[in-house]
This record gives sequence, structure tokens and C-alpha cells, in this order.
Amino acid sequence: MSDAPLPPGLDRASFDKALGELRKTLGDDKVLATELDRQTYLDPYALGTGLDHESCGALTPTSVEDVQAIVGIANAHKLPLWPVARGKNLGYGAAAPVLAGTAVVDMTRMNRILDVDTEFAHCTIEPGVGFYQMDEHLTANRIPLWMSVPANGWGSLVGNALERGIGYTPYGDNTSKLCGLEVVMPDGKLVRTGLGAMDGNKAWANYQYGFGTSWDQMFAQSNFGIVTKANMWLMPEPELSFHALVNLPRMEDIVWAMDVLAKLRLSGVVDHNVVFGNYLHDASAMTTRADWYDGPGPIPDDVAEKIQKKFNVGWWTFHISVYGDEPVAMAKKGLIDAAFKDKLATPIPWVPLRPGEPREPLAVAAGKPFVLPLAVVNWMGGRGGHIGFSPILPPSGKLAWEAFLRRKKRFEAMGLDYYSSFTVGHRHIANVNMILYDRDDAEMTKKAHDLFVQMIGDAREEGYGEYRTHIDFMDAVSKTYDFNGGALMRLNEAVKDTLDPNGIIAPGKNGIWPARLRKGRVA
Amino acid sequence: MIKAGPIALALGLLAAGSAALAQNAADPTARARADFPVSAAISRSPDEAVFRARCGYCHLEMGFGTLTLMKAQGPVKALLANRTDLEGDYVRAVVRSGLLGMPAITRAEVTDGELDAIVRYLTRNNPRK
Repeated sequence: MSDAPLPPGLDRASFDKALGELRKTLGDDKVLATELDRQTYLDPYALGTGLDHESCGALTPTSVEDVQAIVGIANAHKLPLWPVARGKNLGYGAAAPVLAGTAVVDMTRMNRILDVDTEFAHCTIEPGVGFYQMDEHLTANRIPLWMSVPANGWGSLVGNALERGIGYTPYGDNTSKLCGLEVVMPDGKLVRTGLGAMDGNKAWANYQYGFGTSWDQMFAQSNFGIVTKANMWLMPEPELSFHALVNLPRMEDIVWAMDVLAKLRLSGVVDHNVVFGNYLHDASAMTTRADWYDGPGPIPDDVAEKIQKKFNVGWWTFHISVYGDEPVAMAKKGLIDAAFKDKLATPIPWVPLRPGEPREPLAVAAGKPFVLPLAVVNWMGGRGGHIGFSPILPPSGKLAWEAFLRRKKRFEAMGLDYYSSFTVGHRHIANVNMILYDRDDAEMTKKAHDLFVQMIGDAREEGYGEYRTHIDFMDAVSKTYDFNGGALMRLNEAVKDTLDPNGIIAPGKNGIWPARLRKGRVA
Repeated sequence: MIKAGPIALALGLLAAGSAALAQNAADPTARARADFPVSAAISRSPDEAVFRARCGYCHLEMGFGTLTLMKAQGPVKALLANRTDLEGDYVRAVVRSGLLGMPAITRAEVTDGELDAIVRYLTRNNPRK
């Protein structure tokens, strides 16, 4: 039996007093603070025990008033809070806070679907609403709207959008589909952004910016408030879509393929995030390493070829779709076929999809939630974990190739299997370098950690930075954003100190620490 | 080594648009269902509803948990709904502590009352001691 870790500045007695007040105000059933509770909020894929990020327990509000009460008590006692939507930020720390002793504010039970506007294609939801819950709602009510679903569909629509997660339909830049937030600020006041700043405004969910300064993105990947409600745009079900998986046999194929895909994205012919991954992308989801290779060090290239033959996949595979009214979808499909005509040995194997046909087999490409890709954690055997290093690159085949060569070499020098995807966005590549490890193998997790640190440095040297990171690396990654001596972080800190003088909301989130804890920042 | 069949199909599902997918598009779960027989003794109960809602992300036919168990213990034991050998305390421990790649589940997501229902459901066909 071990005691809860205490947040800095609180002793056992003052912590117990704060917890007692929370119990009294919220009710016992909304304060989850047993040793077992704390264990359930550890990062399930931590590089190590995860105890360096152990919470002091979780608070589970069911209303805006609960959230305001929590913030009030936290201010009075300087109890730090770590808000999560459904806590499924897997690979980034899940529900665990940066700072040990922080109380998780778990919004799982604030899960009301307040409105789905079928005519204008948007919804108003609480942060606890999950992709499966929304899918059931849309299906049961025969609402012809699609969500944009990330690779792990276990989580929350709002949480994913606030972390700038992505999906794979034309609405896949999830954070850009937020249209107005309701936020409990660090002083407990309730704010609505965008047109929602006008009480009763009828167009809140139709126009993002509002009047004057626009604040929605201020609450993404930050610690300036607790989002309690959001409007999100949904995609009208297309009259016709086509979906295809394309294999490219040689590793050098990434050079021309990135250039072709980037051009199709820029021109708008392809209007979704194109997942472009190496063979491990599929093999690691369905098999484990021991099925292929039990030697030490990274998988040799000849074994990799065997895996590719077995699954009939290339060195690279990518998924491509078109969506729209029938003439639009047909025309786009034709343009894509033409762009690849001289490059591929066989025609693109398109699969059509129309309303009323089952979307499940196409999963995320057709807005249906899916958790299966999580199986990558089984790759190394044992108690598996994954962590992704994801710098943003310009959409260039040459630059992707250079990044590929350098990262692959780094993985192999560290004795780890190289697994990478180059997701082609509208005007960028998100290059996810996925490190898979066995958590019970101390040497392997140390290598995974060291490789991650190495890649942060490499990318900074090349002029690239990550779009999102794990709680272990938030300080290190934020430091790579170093223009003018870290002027952006100084701005973040000025905002933090003004809005949250007691420093209670998510200390350390994305490298932003409140004044009273700034000295303790990890170097 | 790898068995063809469900794995190949699931890979097709992941790789949306593959040839395997095209062949199975009419009923994507047909093959999987054949490999994961649902016990005839299954009861359409409130307990089952809790199990499906809370554990179904990973422990229905094409789930991450089901496919992981299939690989480790074979098709008969892959679907938790079919099991007759799970002790209640074991289920509770796995839910709250996680197991291998499965994350621990919090009491915010599955309340103690819901966990009781899940345990009742998963142990309903256990042989009487």
C-alpha cells in the first residue's frame, strides 16, 4: 500500500483537506482516489513504470457546475488538475499528467450528445462523447452524417480534436472542425468562444471566428482552461466514394510517390489525409515480431522482404479515397488513375461505396470507429507499448527520403525495428516514427527513450519540429521551438500567469509551466 | 506461423480497399463469425449489454483483444463471451490492472456496478463447483 504522490507545495494534511472538500462538494462517487484508481490512470504504455507521472487520483464531473466547483477548490488549495476528455491519448501518456501528484479531471461521464443538426451537418457535444457512442447515435437515428475517426476510435471526438489528432476522410484535420467551445477558465468563469459569445446566437456552430479575436485554438494542446462543450462539423454522407490500397515494392518509391500525392492534395483532387506507411504498418497490427524473426537487433532486410511477400504488401503501402457526388467522385478517380498510370504495374484496385452499403470494412476511411490498429503494441511481445516521434515536413519526396534514411539508420543503430508512416496532409507530411517496445525489457525501453531524444535533436538540426508529443518529452520538444530565445514560450507563460495565477490547470502541458513551478522544469 | 483466414481478412480490413476486402465486402464479418462461434447459451441480458458497451471496442468479433487472444489461445478461447474458465476475481484484476497490451480500465469508464455485471456475464456458463 503506498500513499498518493503529493503535488508540490502540499503536505499530506493539506492534500487530505482538499480531497475532503472535493468529496463533500461533488459526492464520494466522483472522487476516485484509491491506490487502485491511481493505478488505472497510469500511462499504460509508459517507458518504464509510469510512476513518475502518477496522479493523486481522479475527479469525474458530470456537469459544468461540477467542473467549476473543482476549479474553485483547486484554486483554494493550489491543487493541480489535469483535464482529459476520455483519457485515451494512447502513445502520448493516455490520461496521465506531466507532473506527479496532479489530479486528473476525467470528463468521461460528461458524455451528452446535446444536438445533432442534420440539415447543417454539425453537432454539439460534451468532451466525454466517444466515437463509438456518436456512431451508434448516428446509426440508430439514420442520420446521414460521417464523423472523422482517428486510428484509435476508443477516445473522444472533442479530446482528439483538441490534441490535433487526425482522421482519414476529407474532414480529417479534426481540430479545424471545432466551431465554438465552452470553457471553464482557471478562475472558474464560463466562456463561450466564437459567435457563442453572444447569448443565444443562432449561428454559433456555423462560423468559426466570431467577432474580433478568435480563441478556439488557444485551448488546443494547452493549459488555459477546461473545455466543457464543443460544436463540431460532421461530413454529409457522400453519394459515392472509392477506396483503394496501393502497394509500392521498393523503398525508393517514396520519392516519386510523395511528390505525386502532394500534388493531388494541393490541387484538391485528393482531399483526405493519405496514410503512407512501411510494411510494419500492417504486419505489426496483425502479427508479432516472433512470427518473423527471433534474432537480436533490427529485422534484417531479407526477413522484411519475406514479410512483404507473405502479406502481399510492398515496402510501402498507402490508402487513398475519393468522395463526392457521383460525377465528382468519378472525375477525381480518373485524375488519380492518370497521375499514377506510368508509375504502377497494375491499375489501382478501387472499391466503390454508396449509401446503404456496409461501411465497416472500410473503417476509418468511411468514418467508422475502429480500435484494431492498437494491436501494434503486441509487436515486441510481452507488455507492449508504442510511442511516436512525429515531425512535420514540407510535402516533398526528396525531403521525405532524406528523413526516412536518417531515421531508419537511427532505429537500426539502436537495435529497434523501423516503423514509419508519412501521412500526407493538405500541405505537409506528418512523419510518424513509431517505436514499439516491451515495457518489461528495461534495456529496450531505455533504447526507445534514447532514440526519441536523438530524433528530437536530429529533427531540430534539420529544421523540423513535432506536432504533438508524449508527456515525457513535452519540455524537450517545446525547447526546440527556439526562435528569439523561445519568445513563443515567454508569450505562453505570460498568458498562463495572467489567466491562471495559482497554476492549477495542467502544469507542464506542452512545456507550459505556471510561474510557481517553472523552476522545477525538467532540463 | 501465421494462419491465413481471419488474419488475412483483418489485414484486409486494416488495409481498406485491398483485394481481400473486395471479396468480403458483402459481409465482412462472415468469415470471422465462422471462426469465433458465439455460444448457443448466450443470453440477451442487461449484463450482456454492459459487456458489449464497455468491452466491445476490443472484445467482439474483430476486436484487438479477440485477435490477440486468438493468436495466444486459439479461436475457441478468443471471444470472451464464449469462455467458461474465467474466474470473477481474475476478470476484475485484468479490468483494473490491464494485461499485456490492454490498458487498465478506470472506474469512470466502468463503474464498480458495471464491473459486477461484466463478471456475471463472463462467468455465467462456468461449470458449477
